[in-house]
Parts: sequence; structure tokens; C-alpha cells
Amino acid sequence: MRIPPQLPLVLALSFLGYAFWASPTLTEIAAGIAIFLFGMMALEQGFKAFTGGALEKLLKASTDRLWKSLAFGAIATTLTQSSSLVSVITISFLSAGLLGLAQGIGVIFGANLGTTSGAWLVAGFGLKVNISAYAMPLITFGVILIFNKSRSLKGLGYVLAGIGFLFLGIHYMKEGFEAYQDSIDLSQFAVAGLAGLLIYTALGMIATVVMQSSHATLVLTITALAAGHVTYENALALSIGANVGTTITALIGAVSANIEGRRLAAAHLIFNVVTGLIALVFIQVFLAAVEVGAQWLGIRDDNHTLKLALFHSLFNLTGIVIMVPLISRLVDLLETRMKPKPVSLDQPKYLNANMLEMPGAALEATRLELIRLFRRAFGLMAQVLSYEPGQLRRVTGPEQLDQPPDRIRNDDVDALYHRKIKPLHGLIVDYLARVPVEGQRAQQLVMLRIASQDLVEAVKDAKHLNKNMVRYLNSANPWLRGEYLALRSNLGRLLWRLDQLAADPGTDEDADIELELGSLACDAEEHDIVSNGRLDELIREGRISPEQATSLMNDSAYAYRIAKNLVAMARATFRPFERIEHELRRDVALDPAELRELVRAESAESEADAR
Amino acid sequence: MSKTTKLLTKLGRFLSRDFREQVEKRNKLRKMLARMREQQRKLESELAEEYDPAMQAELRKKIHLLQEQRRKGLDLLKTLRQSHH
Repeated sequence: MRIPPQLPLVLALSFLGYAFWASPTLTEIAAGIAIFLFGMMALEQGFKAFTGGALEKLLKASTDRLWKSLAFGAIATTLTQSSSLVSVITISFLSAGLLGLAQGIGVIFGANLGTTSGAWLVAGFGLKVNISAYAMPLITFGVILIFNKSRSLKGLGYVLAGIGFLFLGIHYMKEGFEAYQDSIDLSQFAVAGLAGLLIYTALGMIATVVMQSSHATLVLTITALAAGHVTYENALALSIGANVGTTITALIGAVSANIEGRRLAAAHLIFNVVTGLIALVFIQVFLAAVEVGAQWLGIRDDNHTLKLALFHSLFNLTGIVIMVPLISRLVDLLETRMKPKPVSLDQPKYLNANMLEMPGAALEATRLELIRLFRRAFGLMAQVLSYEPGQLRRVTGPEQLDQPPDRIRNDDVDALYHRKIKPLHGLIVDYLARVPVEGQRAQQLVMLRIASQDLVEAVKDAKHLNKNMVRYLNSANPWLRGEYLALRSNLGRLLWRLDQLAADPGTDEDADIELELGSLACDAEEHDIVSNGRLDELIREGRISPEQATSLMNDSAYAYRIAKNLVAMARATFRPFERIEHELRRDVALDPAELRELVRAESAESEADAR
Repeated sequence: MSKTTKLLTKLGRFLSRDFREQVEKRNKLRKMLARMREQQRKLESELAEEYDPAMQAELRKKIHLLQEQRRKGLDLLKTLRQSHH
């Protein structure tokens, strides 16, 4: 018999419905948890509004050293109160290749420490002050701002409303447990000793998996502890369970992530399980350390909620101290044990649907995918020019490209195009259409879309060039053969140089890339046999027939367009996008008329020198 | 213009996002032009020591390109400076 997939949900709702009818106090606690979780969702939504720049810039700038990654993870999680948001951004950056696995692991370790700040806030502030008094104005201001059109104000609105709902949720949980104090004594379910430790650790794990939030489990534990419904020892076990349970959420998220995301989720699991085991095995040592720390911090003996927060921070900190020296080994282990599946031709390597929530990372991933598409186009065009793609990549000097081909290739270029280029191009176009962008990011998106079109146009022109290239590289007419050999070596030089630039595009600090691309564009103008008079010369001197002249004219135009489109594509994709730098590079680049003028001046100068 | 109006205009400009971007663009352009000048000098010294005619032509082309790119950059810098005042 097949169980309907909705059955667990129906059972859970029915159980809750009965429980609410039977106990109004339970309703208050459950509503508190629901409002708290809703607050976390609103907070996450709010911070996502700022992920278009600020958070990403900060992440990029603060992950070059391990301690910086750790600090970033801890501070970002403390500020956003959401380790899952920090994890999502980290996975997006890792998948887009903007972050290494070791740095990503650093951020996740830091986030584990940052998440303990929630316990301190609730234990130190939330239980002492009537926080529902702050909740109402926060929710009101927040909702007003949510109606605003500005993206930043809307984001701020979600953040304020989110904090308001968190406070309100904590208030209801606190009230609920306090009401229970007068009716039922939950502490009678307390279990002492090792059995209690293991049972409550398991309970903490289950609660975290069900609520998908360790933060919610901790707040629930602290409020129950404050009302005396759980013993201090059992609360400690619940917090250990919450720490392990939170990795289940990360593992579920990683199922649809790429290999980098899965490796990071595995590192998260290893860290939290090891830390949890250490906490369980050495619980007596930790308890003694908490007592010493509490005395040092001036925490009262009977203030078990703050002591729980201290315990939570202490065992996470211990985990970091133990695991940080092992990060490089952990990276090696994850990289050797978790191998990426070979990417098939029609599968993207960098594009990932999970990344669509982070437009900055999604566009960077598209840029990398376009460079991958360029490498395929490189292979196809090399074949059109009768170069072996591998050999063309390994050329050490441009003069090697002038050698006539050993054999003239006559591949089915159209089939190659449909197999190697078109599917990936389609996926890139489809992905770009789904990236939610506005403002400056929209400019970047349009630029990438045009670059993908430029690349495909170049490939199509190469397809057109193929027929005559095969025919005339074998021509009995030495003049015509010479012209096609020149077309071949000029395009070969362009491809070879672009391939080198794609591998090493330089940094912001050097002016090389614009100079190199300008130089390649200049070569394209110089080699255009229609404008440099070479075609007229060949016709006048009767070296080629009128039919051959039209073919040569068309093919020279194809070669010119290939060069122009490839240079434009390279300008848009080879360097990571930085708007002002990009605008400046575009502003100083010479247009075709200026390049032609430069070529004319150059040739006049060389003629004068020769005289 | 009274002092207060001038001060308010300055404050308005300082708070304006466009203005801040213009300043950033100008500073980046200035650095870019300096890098290009340095690059040009490097290529000129390479040209002085180069005997291969093909390499000489390549270096000369790059130097001319840099000169033209710098000329466009300097014009842009002038325009940005004028719009600032």
C-alpha cells in the first residue's frame, strides 16, 4: 500500500489542532515558535536585499586570510542572526569560484561561533527586559518600510519586522512556559546521568531538524530553562543536539548544490559532529570551565540561562581551536573523497539554480561559464583553421602559426556547433533570463548577454569560413592559397593570444589587457584586405579570378567580424566585472575608425622609414 | 551666493550618489592614466634596445595605441573635472 505524501503533514496538523484545543498554553508556545521562525525568514529576506553588493564585497575582502574568514563568519552571523544566510552566500561564492574551500570552511566555522551570540542575546537581554514592548514599534516601522519602493528601504523594513517578530516569538514562548509553571511541571520528565545526556541530545537534534533552525531550539531551551521546565544538565544536552541537528538543514540544502557546496556541507557536518562528541565526552570538564568563566564574567550561580549561553560558546570555540589547525587536511580529505562528476558537454559547470538568489554570484558564475564556452569555441575555430586545438594552445611563439597545415581538416563544423556550442549557449541565455537584477547589475547582465551573442556570432562566421578554407588552402593558385594561409595565421594568432589572456587576464593594477585587446583589434583592421587595398591589387594584377575575389572578399569580412566579436567578448568577460573600471576601459578603447586611422598612420610611417 | 547656500550646495553634492561616483571615477581614471604612462615608457625603452624589425613594428604599434588611449583618457579626465566645478 502506498502512503500518500501529504499524510505526515495532515497527521502533524491534526495533532497540533488537538493539542491547541486541549491546552491554550501549548498554543501560546507553538505560536511563539511559529512567530520566531517567521521573524527569521523576514530577517533573511531583508538581508538578501543587501546581498547585491555590500555583503559580497565584504566577503571578498575578508576571506584572504583564515582568521579573517573566521571573523567574517562570526560577525556576519551575529549581525544577521542567521547562519543559514551566511552558509548560502558562502556556498554561492564557492560555487562561483570566488572563494576557496579552505576559506569557505573558515567562514562556516566562524558562523558556528556567531550563532552562539543568539543564546547570549536571549539569555542576557530577552528574558530580563519586556522585549515585546520593542517588538510592536519594530514591526510597525518595518511593515511601513516594506511598502517602500526603494530596494534598500524595503530590505531594512524586512530586517526591522524580522527582529520585531523574533522578539514577539520569544515573548510568547516565555509567557507560555511561565503559564505552564502553574499547571504542569515538565521538569518531572528530567532524566539524570548519561541516559539524560543522550536522550536530550537526540531531542535537541530532532527539534532542530523539525524547525530547521538551531537558533529556535536554543531559544526554546533557554525559555524553558528560565521557567524551570528543563534541568540545567538536560538544557546543555539540548544545545549540543541543536548544534548537530543544524547540519541536517545544511545537508538537505547541499543535495541540490554542486560539488563545492556538498564539500562545504560535509565540512560543516564533520565540524559539528566532532564538536558535539567532544562536548558530550568532556561534559564535566566543560561544566567546570563554565563555572570558572561564570565567576570571571560575574554571572550569578543560579543564572543557568547565561551559563548555558557560555557553555554553547565555549564548546563551539573549543571545536574551532581543535579543528582550525586541521583545515588543510580536511580540505585534502574532502577533495580526494568527494570527486566532481565529469561535466558532460551539454551541462554547465558553474551555473547553479541555487545561486539565482545571489545575483552578484550568479552573474560571476555566468561570466566563468562564458569563458568555458569560449574555450569550446576556440577548439571549434581551431579545427576550421586546420590547427590541432591542443597544439594551438601550446604554441610558444606567433611565428609557429605561419607554418602551413600538415593536413587540411574537413570536419562537420555544423554538427560540432550543435553538439558543443548551441546547448551550452542556450543554457547560459536561459540562466541569464532568470537572474533577478536591477540597477547596476542589469547593466552587467546585458553586457554578458551581448558577449554571449558576440561569441556565437564569431562561431557562426567561422562556420561560413570553413567551406572556402578547406577549398582554397589546397588551391593550385599560389596567390590565393597565400591569402587563405594569411587569413588562417592571422585568426590563429588572435585565438592563441585570446586563449592566453583568458587564462591570465592580469589584475586591476596593470593596463595590459586593454592594450593587448586594442592591439588585436588593430591587427584586425590592418589585415582587412578590402580596406588595406590588397584585394584591389590582386584583382588588378590578375592574380585571382573575379569569382575567387568575391570569395576572398566575403571570407576576409568573416575573419574581420570574428576578430571584432571575439575582442568585444573578451573585453566583457575576461576580467571580473567592476562597473567603473569597465566603463573606463570602454571609454579609452579606440573605435574602428580611430583604429583605421592609426593603421594608416603606421603604414605611412613605415613607408617613410623605408624611403 | 551666500555662505549658507554654498555650504548647502557642497553638502548636497557630498551626499549625492552620482557625485561620489564621479569622484571615484576620476580617481580611478587618474591612476589608470599613470599606469598607461608607465607602460608606455617601458615599451619605449624596450624599443630602443630591439633590433628585430617585426618586434620593432609590434612595439611601435603598441606605443601608438597607448598614446591614443591616453589621449582619450585625458580628454575624459578634463570633461569629468569640468563637470565637477
